[in-house]
Amino acid sequence: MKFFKSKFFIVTLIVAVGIAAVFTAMSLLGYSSYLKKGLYYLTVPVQKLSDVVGRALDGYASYVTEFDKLKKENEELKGQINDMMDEVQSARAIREENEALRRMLEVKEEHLDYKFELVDIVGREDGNYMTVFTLGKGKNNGIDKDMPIISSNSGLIGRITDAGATWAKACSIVDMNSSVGAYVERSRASGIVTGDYELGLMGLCKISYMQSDADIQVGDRILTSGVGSVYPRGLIIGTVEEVKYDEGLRTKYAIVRPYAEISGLTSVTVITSFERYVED
Amino acid sequence: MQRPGFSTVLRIFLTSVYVMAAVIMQCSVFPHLRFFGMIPEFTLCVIVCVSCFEDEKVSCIIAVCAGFLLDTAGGGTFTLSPVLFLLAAGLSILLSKHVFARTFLPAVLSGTAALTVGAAKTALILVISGAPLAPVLLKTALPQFIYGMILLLPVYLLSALHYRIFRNSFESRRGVI
Repeated sequence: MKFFKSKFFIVTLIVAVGIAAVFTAMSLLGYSSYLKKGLYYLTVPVQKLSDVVGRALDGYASYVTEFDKLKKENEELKGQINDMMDEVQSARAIREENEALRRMLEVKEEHLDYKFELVDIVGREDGNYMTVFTLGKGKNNGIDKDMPIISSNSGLIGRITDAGATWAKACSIVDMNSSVGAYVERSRASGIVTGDYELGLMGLCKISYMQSDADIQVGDRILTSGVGSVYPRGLIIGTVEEVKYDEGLRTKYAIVRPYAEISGLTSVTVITSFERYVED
Repeated sequence: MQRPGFSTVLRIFLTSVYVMAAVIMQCSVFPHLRFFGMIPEFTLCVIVCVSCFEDEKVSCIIAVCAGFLLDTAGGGTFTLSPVLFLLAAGLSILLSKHVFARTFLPAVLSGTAALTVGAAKTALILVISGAPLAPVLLKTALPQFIYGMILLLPVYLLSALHYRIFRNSFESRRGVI
């Protein structure tokens, strides 16, 4: 403690206290501006230079000191994004349903005899192109076996193969067990649209059993003929992608791309009632 | 009275530059390197560490000047730093040259004491200005103290290096490192 009692330290302390008291008083009374301005002339240029360095360090400092804050903010933003995504998803579903209903209305205007039931697909086979799927409505909603199914763009999807009170099983036109009486819209040449394993994997089907001189071309639209009374006449099945000749059966056949986008379906429309086609 | 040699003058000059640089850094660089929103008492750390090595009288004069310069450059109303810095330098001199050997321990002890007083000074000014005590202590004084303690070791090492270069410039036994 000897040092603190030394004359030098006491004098220095008195000077320091004196300086502090005088300058605090000056500052409080507003008289210190000239002194400060003088000092600012000396310090500000150096401060400006070091401020450049400081600003460069600013980002790194923020990274360390504001990490928790940023992390929390990030989580909150992620939450907000999820909420908004949910809303977007919901709006998209509503829009799709609206679109489907609007198209259904157009179909209904064209075919006044049709009665529809909009059904969600609740289960499906694994794979990119479903051929068999389960619907969320059944006999309680008027859905029964052998009723045709169409998509929102009126393209034929397939038919109901089995139905319970609250569910129904359906198979699409690309399924190997499917067969639909069809004709070429342009030439009226008839045939049967059937599923094929390899084509089914690509989401395609084929129209076969056509006469060897049948008039069919790439791009032709294939429609349901109504023969067999399962499907109403005139539903769009798809368009011809390739025409081939079967040497063994001596018949023409063509590969057809379904008009309905079968792989991306979430809901379908079941035609529960329609006027049966009677062949002349 | 012995006349100081060139190396002594150079040492004191460079020490002054070192402390001056600390003051400028505290006013310009450290506002960008905040810890929980706090600027550290960097100059106080430098004064404490310099006082562990420097001549007693030189330390005291530099401490008072640095305190005055800091308060003036900082633009605050209260000019308390000259007194605080002088007391910190005195404590550092006492511990390093009269009680303990020249190790990091005196710097830690005097640094802790000085930073505590520094944080208390900040808290006092804020409380006088009308801020509530508890948040001031928790959100201002404590981070400021911690930040200062973190800086103490690198500042001590830098000061030790500075005085190792000038170890032959001390005429008295107090200057020997």
